[in-house]
Amino acid sequence: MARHPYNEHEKVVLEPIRRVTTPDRWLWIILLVLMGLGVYAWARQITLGLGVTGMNRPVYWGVYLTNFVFFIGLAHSGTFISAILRLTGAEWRKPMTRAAEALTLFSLPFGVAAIVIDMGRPDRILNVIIYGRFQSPLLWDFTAVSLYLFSSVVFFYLSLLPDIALCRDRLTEVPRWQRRMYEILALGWKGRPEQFHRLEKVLDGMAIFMTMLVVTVHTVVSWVFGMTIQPGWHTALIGPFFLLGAIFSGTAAVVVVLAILRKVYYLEETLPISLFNSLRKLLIVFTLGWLYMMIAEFLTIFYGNLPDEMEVFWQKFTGDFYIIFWAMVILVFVIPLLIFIFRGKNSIPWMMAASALVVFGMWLERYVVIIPTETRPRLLYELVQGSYTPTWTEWVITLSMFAGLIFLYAVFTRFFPIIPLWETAESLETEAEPEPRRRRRRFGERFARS
Amino acid sequence: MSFSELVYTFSNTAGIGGIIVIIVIAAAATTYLMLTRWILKGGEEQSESTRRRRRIQ
Repeated sequence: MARHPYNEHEKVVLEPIRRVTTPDRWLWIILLVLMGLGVYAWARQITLGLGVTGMNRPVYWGVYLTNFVFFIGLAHSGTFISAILRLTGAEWRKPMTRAAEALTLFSLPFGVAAIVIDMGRPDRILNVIIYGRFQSPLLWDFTAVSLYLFSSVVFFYLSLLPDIALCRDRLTEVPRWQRRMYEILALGWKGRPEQFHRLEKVLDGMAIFMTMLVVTVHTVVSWVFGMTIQPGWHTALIGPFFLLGAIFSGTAAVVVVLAILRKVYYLEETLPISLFNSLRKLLIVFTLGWLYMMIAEFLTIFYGNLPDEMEVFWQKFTGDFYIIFWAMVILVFVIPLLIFIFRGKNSIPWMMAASALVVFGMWLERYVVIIPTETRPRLLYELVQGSYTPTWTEWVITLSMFAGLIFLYAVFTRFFPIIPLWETAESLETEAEPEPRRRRRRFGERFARS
Repeated sequence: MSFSELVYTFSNTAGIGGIIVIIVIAAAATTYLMLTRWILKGGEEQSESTRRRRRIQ
């Protein structure tokens, strides 16, 4: 039996893991059905070809690429909250680190899957390795995203390790296979002070590395677009623009997740309102930062008045995409900012509503960054004026990806503590190891005491 | 071969990029494995010596 730090919330946090309820099972079944529909739509797409999607010449990237950027963006929440706030010493982040990290871990696979689905021929994914040239931003993307996914898994697992051991020792009434799973995953964790000390050290070091990775990953994702010379994409601002958007949507998604967890699992004391107030301040900063980026970007394009850039510019402001563009502006800036400032303080429902709008608005934002440029490509816009309408195949696959994310998250919270118990413990000091009775005094100890 | 030619060949030859990806991921895997082992071994020597002392007593 290992030793564990004392945490007064242990009973409440472990309660959801003790049994799987009937509503849980129903939720899982519904989500699995939705995922099954997505698999069917994808299988149909593989059989019939990408012609079943709305993609055409010259719109080669559609909803799938929107999903790719969106899910990778969501995945930045965990690293931002766990790694960046860890480095700044923000202690208030501790109760929500795991919820945010789980969002990272479960979003990333769907970001990667979006690319595979978009390829049409998934068997060609290995060509990236076999024929990869380092000249290509796609290969940078592949490298960065793979490393990020791998590092996120390790970062998440290491910070979960003491709590898996806690589950192994405390949850004796759970099914045998579940106990066995904890035993295997705990890797024989003993809870020795030196283990905690080393774990903290490694997590601190990894936090620095993960911070660098998070910047790299989303910048490289943006370069997949930015390194082409297409209007609306070919701008040096696209890296920071994507990065800020990713952290913004990720943090908003964390607020939504925390509010749901708090309600469903009765975690009112563990996830106090002050936590949401701190996140509110961050979200206000991100909203304004995002507004700054938008103004800087569009004002520069407008003043430059280059014909091919202006084609895309007007497509967004008054053209085919004006409804999506202005809906995005209202959903990401106007309503959330007003709520965050005037209603969000001490109100979780308002915070959740505003954050949900941000998340949805950021999906629209990804769409409006990618598609209008493709309908009016540089040099060709006078010859080819493309259009794009997603088909049911794309919508079903998109829906199934969101269902998959929720499914993984829901299942995880039923088997592992969603609040990091060892990190939120009053003290990391575990019960002292019994000393031998006749302990030999060290030289000078007597004088030091006196 | 000049340095610029070397860089050009490196970034344009098919397959080299893939090797870099594999090296990066393999290096990360090795590092993480070693770190995990190091964490788990923390305090092992101390508890071993404590146990030995207890046995002696």
